Amino acid sequence: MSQAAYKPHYEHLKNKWLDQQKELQKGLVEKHKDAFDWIKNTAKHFAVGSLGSLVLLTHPVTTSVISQQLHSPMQKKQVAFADTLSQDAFTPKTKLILSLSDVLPEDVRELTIEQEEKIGGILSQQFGMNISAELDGKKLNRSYGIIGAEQHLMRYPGDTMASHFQTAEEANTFYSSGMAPGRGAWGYFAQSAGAMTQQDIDREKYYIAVQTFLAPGFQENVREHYAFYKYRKMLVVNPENGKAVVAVIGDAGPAAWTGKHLGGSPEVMIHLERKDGRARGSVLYFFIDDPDDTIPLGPVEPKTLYAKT
Amino acid sequence: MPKHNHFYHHIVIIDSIHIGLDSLELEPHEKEELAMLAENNLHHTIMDTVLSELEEGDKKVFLALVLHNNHNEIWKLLSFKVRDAEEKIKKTAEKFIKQLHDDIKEAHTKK
Repeated sequence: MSQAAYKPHYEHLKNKWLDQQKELQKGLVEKHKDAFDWIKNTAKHFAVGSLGSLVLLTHPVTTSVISQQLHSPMQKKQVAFADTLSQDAFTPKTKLILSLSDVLPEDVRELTIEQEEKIGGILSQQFGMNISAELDGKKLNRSYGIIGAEQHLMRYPGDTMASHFQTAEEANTFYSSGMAPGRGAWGYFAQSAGAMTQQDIDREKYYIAVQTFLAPGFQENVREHYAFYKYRKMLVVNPENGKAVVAVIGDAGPAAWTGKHLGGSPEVMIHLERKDGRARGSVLYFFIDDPDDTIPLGPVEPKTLYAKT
Repeated sequence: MPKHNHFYHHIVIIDSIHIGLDSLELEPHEKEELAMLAENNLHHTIMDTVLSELEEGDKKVFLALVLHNNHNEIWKLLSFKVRDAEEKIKKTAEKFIKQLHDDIKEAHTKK
């Protein structure tokens, strides 16, 4: 059996460059520790890339070196992150993703009031609307949660999958999502096919189901909450890619035991790019204050809403 | 060998390293391993050069953009924040690549 020949020149160079790699990686992470700590904690909000593109890990030893560095306590140092993002060098979507990643917690959990206020401010600024987690003294059980895919809703008595789509393209894309057997929490969107308006069509197309029944104060005053939440406009944002949709609350759900916090219509899910194999993922959902009903439903880009309308 | 498409690839040419390694009479897997180490070390050196030029907030944005592999926005940031960024990166890379060639030359003496 042949044995690989020992090559001193190869071994020498390999060892030298491996040692150099260790030193360079350690030095890099130590020297710019605050920034690497931050990116490690926020990386999970990003849809693409990996930490490997920042610090290339090609050897087991180096992995532990980086891990050791990254797990040391974060320095309490004031940084001008928001100042940097305020510059014109970035596209609105990049600004949105990065701004949100600076505020969002590491895992998907209920936001604090301070976090909700900060995010409401970011979204208001980026989308040119008044956006907040609380409106008219009412708020949902949460504003950041896991969204799951819902089915189409019957818009009027007799609406079926055969009558539901306006174009063949729509049917091709969305037929497979199916239709929920019952009506939504607010009943039919219209009383008949003939009475259905574009607003009704859009409301069903861009609806979300939220856990209204878990909202603070709901059980104490069901009628008032029912009226408030019915077709209430919300901005739903995928913080990983900056995709956003103006939607209405069109149904109540999902049940708490599902592990999901809200549901999205097939059209909402596909735009947010949450329609993957598991058809679920984290989103922000905040109220839009639109008393005159001027903001159209559907996909929306940062800083472009008013230009479109 | 899989190559990372780094934001500086249009200004940093590393072909000479591969040619230098060819002269060492290595097995393909040995050459691949050394080339990858050389590229990684160059990458860390360039990252340090850029990060050292940036303020703390800018560093975070830069790392996030590198994570996104968003080359356009990286260069927008660098052009805005770092004077002569391209030149600085090129100079760092040239110096480091020269050092790699010296290491290869030294390896020839170990045969």
